[in-house]
Amino acid sequence: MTDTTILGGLDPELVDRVVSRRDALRETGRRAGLLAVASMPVLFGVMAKKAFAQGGIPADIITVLNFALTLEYLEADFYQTGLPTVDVGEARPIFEQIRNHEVAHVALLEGLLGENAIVKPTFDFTAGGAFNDVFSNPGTFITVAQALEDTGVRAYKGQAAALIAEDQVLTTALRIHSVEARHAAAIRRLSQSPAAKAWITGNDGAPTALAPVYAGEENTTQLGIDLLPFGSADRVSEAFDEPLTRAEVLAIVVPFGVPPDPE
Amino acid sequence: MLDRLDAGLRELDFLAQVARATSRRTFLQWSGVTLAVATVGCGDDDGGDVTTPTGNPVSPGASTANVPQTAATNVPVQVTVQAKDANGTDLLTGGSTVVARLTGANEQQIRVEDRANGKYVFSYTPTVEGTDTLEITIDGSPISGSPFTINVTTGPAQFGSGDIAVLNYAYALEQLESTFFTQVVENFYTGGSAEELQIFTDIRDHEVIHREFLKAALGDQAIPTLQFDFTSVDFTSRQNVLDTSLTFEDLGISAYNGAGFLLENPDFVTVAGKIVSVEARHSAVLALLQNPNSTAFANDNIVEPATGLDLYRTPNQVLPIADPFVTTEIDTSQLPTN
Repeated sequence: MTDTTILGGLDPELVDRVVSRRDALRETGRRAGLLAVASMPVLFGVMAKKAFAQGGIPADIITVLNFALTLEYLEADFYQTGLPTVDVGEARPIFEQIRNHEVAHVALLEGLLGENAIVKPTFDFTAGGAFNDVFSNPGTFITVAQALEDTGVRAYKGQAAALIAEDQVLTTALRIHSVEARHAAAIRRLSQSPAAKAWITGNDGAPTALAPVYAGEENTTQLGIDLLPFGSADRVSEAFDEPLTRAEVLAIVVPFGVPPDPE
Repeated sequence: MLDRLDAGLRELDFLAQVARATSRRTFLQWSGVTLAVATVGCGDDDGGDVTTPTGNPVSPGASTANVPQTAATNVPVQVTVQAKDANGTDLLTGGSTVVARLTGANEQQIRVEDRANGKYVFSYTPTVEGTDTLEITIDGSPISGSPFTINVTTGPAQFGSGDIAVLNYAYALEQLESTFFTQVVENFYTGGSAEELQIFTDIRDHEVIHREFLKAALGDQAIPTLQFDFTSVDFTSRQNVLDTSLTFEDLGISAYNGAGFLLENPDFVTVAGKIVSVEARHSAVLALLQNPNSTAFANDNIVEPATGLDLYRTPNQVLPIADPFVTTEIDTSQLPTN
């Protein structure tokens, strides 16, 4: 099960370290009844940085990674600032796990970018007064958290194709992307009583303020194929999450203090 | 491409044999239509030992061929005809007119190659299930056993190559998921809430839509419908159903995450991303059904705590996990690995 595709072309010494670490993890995984490959990415950030070391990161990849880092700064700062004050009750373990992941994503992307990493902006989580009680009212907190996570899913999806020439970066981005979707699903389940669906039906019936977060999610055509013969419009729209462009994402997050053109 | 190249080399080889042939006529046959007849003179560069031990003429009714009674789609059927004399002794020279005519489910033209040693060889690859009839004649008369009947059944599913193989791989996984969740909904365990049933029904519908989308996108390059065996799953047990559901969803997520870089077409990368995040939503909600208000939706054994990265697996790691549930044989030899 040695994965030569991911390790290929990298410093052999580093590969040895990763593989032997993975062997150790595999043993642990077996005892836990889990596949150890799940645990191998620990050194991935290091590896990717190493892979770039010779030629440096291409400029267009830096732009994409800094865009991702901006969103991760936003999310991590949101939970780090809000969780100490807002009462999310029984859902606290969910939010603490999400916060931990966002902090890890920041560290991972900062590590990949090195000196090219942008500086963390100063955020305004009230979005200019739209969410004044964001850190005192759990309902508002959950609303904003859901908007940030669903936006994050769409933002990564919109950048994936731009990373196609950089296999390792693409894989890393995809692996962050699906974690953001897990977060979004968990938060969506908290957002109403009874719990809302974890997937996005149509354009989610979002209030005007959040409409851009879900605009276009009602799409029922993929690769030019009309999918309505295979299910209702609701189910078809739920079955595919839609991407957002960089500009569409910025329009959503600039009110939270993200610079209009982060670089 | 390689097939075509191979056929071309065989053709060259055959023409070389024609050029070398001595004191005999060689026929190039396309399903009985004589395309080329070569009559060339005798020479000593013919191996020297190509002679008929008995000197007797060929007897079609005594000649034989190793035609199988069954065959599988996408697997070549290779036939060797042995020319014999009336005593049943093998002839060691060629030159007879051997015609193979294939009719039935896989009707196609067949080219017979004269090996110039008493053996005549040909092959064909059935692509559809059904019954084929193969008539083989030597100099116009049927050989022993002709016409032959070949029953063709479904052979290993071929993933194809490149992006098509990756999409077929996704299609196979969506078939697995949609078949499983269809069975869950049709045999829904007792004690589940109405909301729980709605969640499973939504997931079933999403997976069916994913499956049908990939099938439509692949068109005639799609692998056939696969057969699955879920007898190891206790569908009456909520715990067992949730566990198995999570196994399949996390398998799907890891597979999409680990296959994205194999794709060449950026549109396919985007559409794979559109699917995988929905699979991640499924996994999260199922895990929270099992353990409400917990970290289960993105546990540390799924999402690496140090990096916040989700599972990814290469096809070679995914297929052995899916294999116990898949009864159809699949040939993934052309699945890209880098």
